[in-house]
Amino acid sequence: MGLLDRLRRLVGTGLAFASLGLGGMVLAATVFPVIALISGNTGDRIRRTQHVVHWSFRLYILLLRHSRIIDLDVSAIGGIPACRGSIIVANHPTLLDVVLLMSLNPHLRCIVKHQLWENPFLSGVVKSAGYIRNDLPSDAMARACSEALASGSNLLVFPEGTRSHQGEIGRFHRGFANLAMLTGTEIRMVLITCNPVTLVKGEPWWRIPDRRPTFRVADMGALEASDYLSYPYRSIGARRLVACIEERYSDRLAKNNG
Amino acid sequence: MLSQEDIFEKLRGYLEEMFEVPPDKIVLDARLFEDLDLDSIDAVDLVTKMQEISGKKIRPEQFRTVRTVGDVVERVHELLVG
Repeated sequence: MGLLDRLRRLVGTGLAFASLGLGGMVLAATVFPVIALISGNTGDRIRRTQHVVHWSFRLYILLLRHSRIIDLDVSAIGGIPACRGSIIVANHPTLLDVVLLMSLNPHLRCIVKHQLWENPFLSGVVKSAGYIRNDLPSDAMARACSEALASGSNLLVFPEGTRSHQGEIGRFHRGFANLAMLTGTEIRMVLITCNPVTLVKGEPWWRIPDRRPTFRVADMGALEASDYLSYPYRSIGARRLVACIEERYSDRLAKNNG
Repeated sequence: MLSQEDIFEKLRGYLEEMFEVPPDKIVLDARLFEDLDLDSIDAVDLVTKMQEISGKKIRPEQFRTVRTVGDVVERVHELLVG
């Protein structure tokens, strides 16, 4: 049973990876051009693309759960699905985090590595869905992000900038805090955990854990960035805000690990 | 006319006040991002602040090659002289 189960999950994981890349490419070649054609303006195109991405990822996660490759615990999902126009921050333990969050909220946009604009599998998706390149100069970045938030999209940010090390968080970048303060946006905090860990940084996909991993996505509540505007400089407020959020994550993760 | 020392003193004040940089870290060859924990948004805020002392409009491009505290001092000084 052990070996057979492991083999089944290994093949399943490989298929899952392949279908993610292929799925992106197929959608980019078929559905997204149609969306571009029938959408009168950029806002419509982005909204429709986000819905396609959301439902594709919902289906994808459903398949992963039904084929018993992963389990998903959404018992503490709270306000995440209904969130609009917020900055959503999350820790980033695994490769599946973006897929999970996009499957749980239909209005997510993210800031993504500029290399994906050249990626044959994913460039169609990132362009059509109105995602924001991480290599924009800071003023253009701020403008793109404010427009996204004003249109009702949430902005998904992994403040660590890269995947976390096992069970810990890396130092947070402060861009999201500055943006939240400039735009008066609420910051929704999301905790992602995976037990046993899998798809972590530096591990090849085929090194799967001994038992089926359970992913958990939990709402850690929201903070009003405007509460931090009373400092004499925004730069100080942003530092305090980030320190507060970092501490909440460390506390939660310490509790999880202990 | 502000000397390079004057500019450095002002800059030191801003770095402490705006970005909570410990005073002993503020030396001419300290790198803004790596050593003083500034980010690109802080850099824009700093440029805006430096405009106040130079009294001249600074375009962010003019600061693109700036890496260290000394670079900032030099660039602002050049603007004042030029």
